[in-house]
Amino acid sequence: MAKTKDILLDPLSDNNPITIQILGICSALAVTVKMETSAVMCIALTVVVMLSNFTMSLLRNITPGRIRMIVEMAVIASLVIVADQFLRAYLFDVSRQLSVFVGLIITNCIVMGRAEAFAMQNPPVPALLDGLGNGMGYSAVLLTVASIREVLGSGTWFGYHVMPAGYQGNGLALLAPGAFIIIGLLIWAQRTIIKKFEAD
Amino acid sequence: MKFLLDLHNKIRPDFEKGGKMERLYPLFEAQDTFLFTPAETTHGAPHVRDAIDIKRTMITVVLALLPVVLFGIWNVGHQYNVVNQTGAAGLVADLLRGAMIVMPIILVSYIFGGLWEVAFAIVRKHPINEGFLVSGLLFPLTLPPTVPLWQVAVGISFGIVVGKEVFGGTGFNVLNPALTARAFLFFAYPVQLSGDTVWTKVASDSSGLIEGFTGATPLAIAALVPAGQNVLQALHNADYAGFDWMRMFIGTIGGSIGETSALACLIGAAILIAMGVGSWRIMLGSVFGLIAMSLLLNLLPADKYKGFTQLPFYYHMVMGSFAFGTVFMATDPVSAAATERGKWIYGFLIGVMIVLIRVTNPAYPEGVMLAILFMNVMAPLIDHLVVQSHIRKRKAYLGKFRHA
Amino acid sequence: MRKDDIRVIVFAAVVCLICSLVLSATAQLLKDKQDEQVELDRKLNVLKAFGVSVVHEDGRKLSKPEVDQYFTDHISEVFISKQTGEIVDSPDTSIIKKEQKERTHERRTLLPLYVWTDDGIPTKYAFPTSGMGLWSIVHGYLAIDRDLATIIGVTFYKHGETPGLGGEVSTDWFQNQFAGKKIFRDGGLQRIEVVKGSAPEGSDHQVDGMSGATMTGNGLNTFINRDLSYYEKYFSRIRGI
Repeated sequence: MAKTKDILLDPLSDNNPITIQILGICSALAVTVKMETSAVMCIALTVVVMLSNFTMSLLRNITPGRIRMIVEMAVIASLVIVADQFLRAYLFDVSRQLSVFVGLIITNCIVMGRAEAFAMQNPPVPALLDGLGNGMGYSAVLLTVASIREVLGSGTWFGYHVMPAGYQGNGLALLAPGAFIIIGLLIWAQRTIIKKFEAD
Repeated sequence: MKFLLDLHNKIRPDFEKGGKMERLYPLFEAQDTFLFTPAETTHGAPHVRDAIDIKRTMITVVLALLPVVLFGIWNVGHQYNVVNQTGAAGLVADLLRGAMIVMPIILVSYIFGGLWEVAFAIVRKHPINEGFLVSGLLFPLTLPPTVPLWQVAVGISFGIVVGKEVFGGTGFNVLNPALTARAFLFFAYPVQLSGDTVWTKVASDSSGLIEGFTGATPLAIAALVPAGQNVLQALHNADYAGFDWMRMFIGTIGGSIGETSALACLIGAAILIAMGVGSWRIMLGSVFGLIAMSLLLNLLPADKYKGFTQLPFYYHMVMGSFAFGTVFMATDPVSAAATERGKWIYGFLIGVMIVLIRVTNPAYPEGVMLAILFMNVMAPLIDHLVVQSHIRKRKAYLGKFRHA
Repeated sequence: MRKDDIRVIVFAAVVCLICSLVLSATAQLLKDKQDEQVELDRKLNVLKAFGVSVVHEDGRKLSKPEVDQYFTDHISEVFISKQTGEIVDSPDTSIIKKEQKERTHERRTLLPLYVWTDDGIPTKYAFPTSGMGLWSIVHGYLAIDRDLATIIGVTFYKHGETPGLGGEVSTDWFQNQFAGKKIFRDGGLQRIEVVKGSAPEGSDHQVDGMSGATMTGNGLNTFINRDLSYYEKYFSRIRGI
């Protein structure tokens, strides 16, 4: 079962979709101001990538190669819209803060990339796990970035005050460029640690 | 001196390879080269016989900064005494008061900048670079005297680490570290640094709270002059003594520590150019850019566009931090364009963008920092284009002979 | 046409059909719930402007029944004609629907007004106000007292201004300043003003500006007073009755 473990855990660090493959940066910048929105976004993306992987894996043997990408697109877009509709109905406040970024999961390269790279060649269950793994890898980075941004920027974590009273929020952490810098530093740190990309 | 040198040579083996304090060699090396002429010579050709190395270059910049620093210290003290009506007056009183406010800011900047520099030098096993001697002094000069000291520490740390070390240290950075630090503070703590109120240090009141002095900088005043009104008149009526050209040129106004005096910056520019350290092409280019853009904006109908568009270029030159930024920030050899023609273009575009940001962008009263940082990013592209066009021209020229 | 082509087309058609079925089913199923949420959100903002605390002590927001209770007990929504200032008795719902999409009052003809009544007597009025800040449209509600001159509360609930500068519009310290300010004095409208820096002590129409956000403040000045002048047409009719 070593392989299952790899499928699940590899995307968490060694093959992380954000810090190693640099995919899905757009939403990682946009929704990570607060833990609450990031967490919802992570769940939405994980569910979408799992289901899309599962569906595409089921369809992999009957999908004509020529319209493969379009079918992937249609499936992913439908799943995203369904997810968005559910958020609007049951998590109104969060969904309003996420605004278009739930919809933009459609263009998130992670979802399309996993469908194309993994689900089209593998049976449904590993595809589902691969989706879960990548979703978690994405979530790990997003939640880290959001933790740093919310704590530094607003002095709170999931809305609870964690910094001493009188803490002055760091405005840069609340702006998208701040997230960009934080992600850059994360990538720097991670690559220094795993030494996968050491200059030769 | 002999005694010092002997002592140094005695402890040298401890720090060299195999010595017990080998890891701290960068610290020793910094001492060594700072105090004495290094004994090493370069091993490979080509050899250049010249007294100039990074250390001497950086010391020249520090020297050129001295007039700005001294004037800044005096002016901060002077503004403090005038605004707070402390009754103290005279050169000495102003200097003392100013030093009390400015020196802690510079010290904090040096200490924290130095700590990061040493930390990275030890981890990466390279000698300490003297760049931070300049960055550590430039940065505090861009700050308002009211800046909290912890912000200085956070700012310089960000500037050194993200502006320089992540790229590999001195010489590899894309952005000017001092400006990166300034930009970080500007966006992180906009309340203290947004730049639309006068930055004169104001005394604590009886309850121990710092009260802000609510005046406005010349740029902020000019930015709010509505269409059809005379911007010079608005400037003249503002502040306790009115913002006249001469006063802004000499710099006896509130503002960031080092930016107020165009005169002190001019002296610095003269030193930099005379010593061949600062590029006069960049400075002149930026002046031309500023003049061109201001003249262009002056052409707009005065009754339809806000008064700021009508500001003459010679006012633009003495307002805000144009002089300081152009002389000391834009000419940073690492982040500026490197080709001669590239320097003209780079400087010119900085001048153009400064005026553009000042006049047309409602959110940022001053555009110098953003303009220079933006052009820092563009500099390699400019160089590339200049080199390519040169190669094309040479090819065409040589081609003529081949076919003749 | 090759045989393969037919297969591709059929496959594509089936995928599309399934997808659209799934989508329309979800949209239909969730529509009521979504509309309810939008409605609830609007009502919560109105309540907030009226000075009703919209969160329980444990941090939970008021539930839908609780909000509806307030609305049935106290609040009625009317529409006034922007042109004449009269209450429109049976407003054209299609126009209302169309004008809801507008982001400011400038291009509306029917203006919504919320009236708070205690035992059948109107005591407070609230209306939406919105307009350009520096970067974005700032949306809010403004509530005034029965004397039609004193502000009870202001709430700005949606904006895209710079965090820390113009973003301060949504903070309590900024909004609370408006309570008690006078919009009407000596027989005429009085401008509400966000000043640059600190407002003069005891001023009845000026509030402290947000530091570093002069342009956002100027935006608020423009649209709050513009909207006040629209509603004044109605208020001047009922004032003094």
